[in-house]
Amino acid sequence: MHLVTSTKELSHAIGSVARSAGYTTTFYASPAQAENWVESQSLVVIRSEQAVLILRREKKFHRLYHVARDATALANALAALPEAVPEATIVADVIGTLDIIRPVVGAYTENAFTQYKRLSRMYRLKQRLEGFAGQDAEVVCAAPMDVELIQAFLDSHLDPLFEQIPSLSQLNDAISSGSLLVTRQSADLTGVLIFNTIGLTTTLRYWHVSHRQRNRGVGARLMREFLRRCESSARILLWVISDNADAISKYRHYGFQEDVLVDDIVVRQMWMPTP
Amino acid sequence: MKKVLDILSSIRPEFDFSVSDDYLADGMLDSFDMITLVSDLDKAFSVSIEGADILPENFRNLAAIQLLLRKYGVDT
Repeated sequence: MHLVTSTKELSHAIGSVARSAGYTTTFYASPAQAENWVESQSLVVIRSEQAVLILRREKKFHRLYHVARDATALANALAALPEAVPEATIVADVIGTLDIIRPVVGAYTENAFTQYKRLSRMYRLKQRLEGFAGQDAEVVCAAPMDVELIQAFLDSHLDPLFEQIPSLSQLNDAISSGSLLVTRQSADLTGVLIFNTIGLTTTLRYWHVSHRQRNRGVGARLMREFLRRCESSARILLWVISDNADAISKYRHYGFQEDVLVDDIVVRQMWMPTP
Repeated sequence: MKKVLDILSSIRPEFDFSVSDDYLADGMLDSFDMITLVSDLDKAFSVSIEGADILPENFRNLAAIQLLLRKYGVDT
C-alpha cells in the first residue's frame, strides 16, 4: 500500500490491470478530480496481480474504488484489505446495471462488506413546450456569504456514507456558477437545490427541504425553478434511494423516469454513525 | 464510421453524435457511458480494448474513437 504522488502513477496502476470479459471498475473520477485528490495526498493504492484498490481518505471513513480483471480478482484483492487498513470504515459504490454489478457486489459481501443502500438513476429528456412561468422570486441563487449556512444545512440532511457532502470549495463553485438555489424564511434556509451542468446534460445533485417546511410547496418551487433554468438541457439526471417510493413518485411527477443504472453502496463498518 | 455512430446512438439515442467535437464536454457521454461504449466496441469490432486505453481523450469524438480502433487493427 502506498501514497499516490502523481496522476501518471495512478494511470499506470489502473492501466496495468488486464481486461477480460468480467473487467470491473468503480473509478470514474475525471482527470481534474483525480489530480485534486493526488495533490491533497488523499489517495493510496493497493496493487495485486489482477486488481488495483484505490482508497481515498474522507473525514470519517475511506472511500474505496477498484479496478479488477474480474470479480474473482476483486475478491482476492479485498481479502487483503483488513491487513492494509484494519481500523478504517470503508465505503464503496458499485455502479452499473443489476446483472453486471451482482458478482461485483458479491465480491464485497464475501469480504466483510454489507449492502448499505441502493440508489437508482432517473433521467428526464428535454420536453417540448414546457410552458414554464417566469422566474419564481422566492427561489434565488445562493450568495457567497451563504456558504457555511448551506454546508451546515446539508450536514444536517445528508448521510455521509452514501451522499457525498460537498466541500466549501465545491459549494463556492456552485454558487459562482449560479447552480445553487435556495429558499428562505427570514434568515433561515428552508430549502436547497444544487445542480451541475456539463454541456447538454444537467445532474441534480441535492434537493432538500428543512424538516419543518415540508409539505408546504417549498420543494415544488425549487424543482420548478430548477427545471426552468435547465430548459435548454437535453437530459437531466439524478440518483434516488431505490426504495424511497415517495421520492420516486415526486420525480415521476416532474417527468423523470427510471434508468437502467443502479448504485449499490457497500460498507465495511468499524463504527456506527450517530443517527 | 457509421457503425461507431450507431453504437453511440444506441447508448444515448437523445444525442446527435455527428455534430459534436467533444462528447464529454458537451455532456453527451459520461464515465458510465464510456464503460458501456468500450464493451460495445469490443463486441462490434471483435477487439479487447486495454484498460490503459480507457481514457477520456480516446472517446472525446468520432475521430478519437476511430484512431483508437485503428490501434487495434480496425479500419472504420
